[in-house]
Amino acid sequence: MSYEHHYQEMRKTLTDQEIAESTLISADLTEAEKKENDEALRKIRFERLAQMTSEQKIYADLLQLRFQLEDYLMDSPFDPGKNFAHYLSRYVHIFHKTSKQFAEDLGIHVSRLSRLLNGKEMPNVELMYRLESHSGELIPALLWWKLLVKKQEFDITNNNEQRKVEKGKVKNAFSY
Amino acid sequence: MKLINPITQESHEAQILPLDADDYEAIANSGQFDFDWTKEKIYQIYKLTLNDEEEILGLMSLIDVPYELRIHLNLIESAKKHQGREKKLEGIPGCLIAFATRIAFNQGYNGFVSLTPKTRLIDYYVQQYGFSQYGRNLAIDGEASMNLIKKYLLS
Repeated sequence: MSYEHHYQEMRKTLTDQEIAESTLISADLTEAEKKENDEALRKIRFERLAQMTSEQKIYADLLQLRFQLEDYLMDSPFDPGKNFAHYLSRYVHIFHKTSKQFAEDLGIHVSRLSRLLNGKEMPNVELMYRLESHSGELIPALLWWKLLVKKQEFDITNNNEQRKVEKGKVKNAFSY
Repeated sequence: MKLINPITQESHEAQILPLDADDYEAIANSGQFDFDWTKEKIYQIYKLTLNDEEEILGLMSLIDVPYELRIHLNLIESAKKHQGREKKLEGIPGCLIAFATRIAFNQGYNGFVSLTPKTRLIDYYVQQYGFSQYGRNLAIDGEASMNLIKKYLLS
């Protein structure tokens, strides 16, 4: 059955507004119409792309980073390659700035930025707030924080060597 | 994301997940969906349910068009009991459309989502969701897409 047939069936009990409030129905197109329409859509899309300003590109890239970060935090197992340094590096890349310029934006020394980007230093909460502000609030500080927590969760669960060392230092461990 | 009971204004947490192969039987047996969703199998299909519940409240099929950096919406249907004046929950299509724009951001398409709806329904989709009209097509991207995400997914 065509989409049109279903639409006509729905119209027996629902108004157009009620149909539109509960469904999204595509038009039935012939092959020729579909071909013509696909071409029109292609044209629209590339026109919109050509019209994008540099600010709009940054906006799009920031939201891409945010949603990819959210998905990683929610749905994916810990991946050592997807650490704070990895996402910070992607973040810096979006703005097409030198390390010096970017460090100045955040009010930190360029050597600290370098340590953060190389995973030699972990960020503090203050830096996360600065990143949030720098992104125009598009990437919340909480996401950066959860990224650290994800690593810490993995480390605390899997660092059996350290667990063994610390266990050796404990006296009178409770036993039941 | 939340769905609202239009009478009590009570909100319910909802989730959107990819459709599983064994969902088709449940869809057919539920009597809640008129469109033939097996015909949409060639596309990506998502289902909307309340958190930790199996009952499907809404379905969406979409097409990823990577060479044009866009997501094309093909079909959305709310379960019958969530249609019309007597609907039990509202916001189902809004959540699904917003989810499609989120995919479009995630893919690096600047939230660009297109559709080619039935002509008679165009005005409503423009008014309700902020789509722009291009001939017989509608599209949304950028800030307008993010506004849908804020309204339906982040609120």
